[in-house]
Amino acid sequence: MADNKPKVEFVDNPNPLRSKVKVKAGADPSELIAQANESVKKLSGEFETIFAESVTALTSAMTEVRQTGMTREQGLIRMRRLLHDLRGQAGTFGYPLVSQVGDSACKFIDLSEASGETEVSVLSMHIDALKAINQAKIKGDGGSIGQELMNGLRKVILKHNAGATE
Amino acid sequence: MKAYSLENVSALVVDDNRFMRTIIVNVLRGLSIQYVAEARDGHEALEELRATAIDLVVMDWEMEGMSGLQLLQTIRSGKRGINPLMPAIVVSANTIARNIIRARDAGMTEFLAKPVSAASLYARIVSIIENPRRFVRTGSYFGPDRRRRFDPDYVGPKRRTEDKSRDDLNDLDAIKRA
Repeated sequence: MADNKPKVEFVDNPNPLRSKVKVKAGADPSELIAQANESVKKLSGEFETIFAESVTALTSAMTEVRQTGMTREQGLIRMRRLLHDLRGQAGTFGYPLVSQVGDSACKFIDLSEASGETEVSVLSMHIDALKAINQAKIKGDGGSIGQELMNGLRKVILKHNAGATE
Repeated sequence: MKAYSLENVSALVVDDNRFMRTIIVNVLRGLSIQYVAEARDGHEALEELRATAIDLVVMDWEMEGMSGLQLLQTIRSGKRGINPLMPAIVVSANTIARNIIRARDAGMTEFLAKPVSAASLYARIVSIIENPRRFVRTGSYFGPDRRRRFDPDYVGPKRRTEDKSRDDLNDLDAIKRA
């Protein structure tokens, strides 16, 4: 019987990176990591400015999306980009709740098949949540308020998805 | 995890968001990497890879213009004088499974979910140093071996000739017959 398995060629990886580094005998990597964290911490102030500006830009984009619906037009594209950037950056600076809300909004935009008033309303709740976090300067997971906020968004999305499959 | 001195490593950070680039550059410099180049998009990244001896690429996936997918495919193609074995850490906030699978199937070395932390990026670099994977070329794929470990209990389709050799080794009757 003919062997139908596809041909596979293996190529050795010389791993040049290994030859460029040295193990620091007796050193603790946590010191190196702490040093890198300090280097990033210096950017916290800049992030807070970017977050505030993003909330303003998101509010403006939301006004456009209310007029056009959740269609792939400029307002939504701009909004998706701002939310995507926020979800990617906020957690680094101690705002994991912002990352969670941003992630929830991006996934909703990416996975929603409809683009009507209900979808716009779900999206608007996410933007309102980000406004609230910015105004109250909620850091960390936001404790019970943060949990309540995320649970609220989850319930709205579950309810929306249940309605969409009916 | 071991502590490595990374002073001699040269890295390239590719992201179309300026602030995100700054975050990753600061992490890498904080980890003692002396040479960190930046590229705003895939085209700039390819220019840098052609011009400079880069050891490691840390790249965004969702980029305007040339996407992370196109950039990684170009690197792995080995065209344009770029080392196709270049270690590439794909960084993305989009952790939907199909996104990660697409990056894996384009030949990424490691995946790093945003938000980025110094600990998570350092762990990916250590993984590249300590667990280099051989590269595999098939009709439809070129990149690091996507099988990170051998699972003796794996029951799915077996596509490689070496799978058969392993089966023979595990087949006690076949060994007795030999």
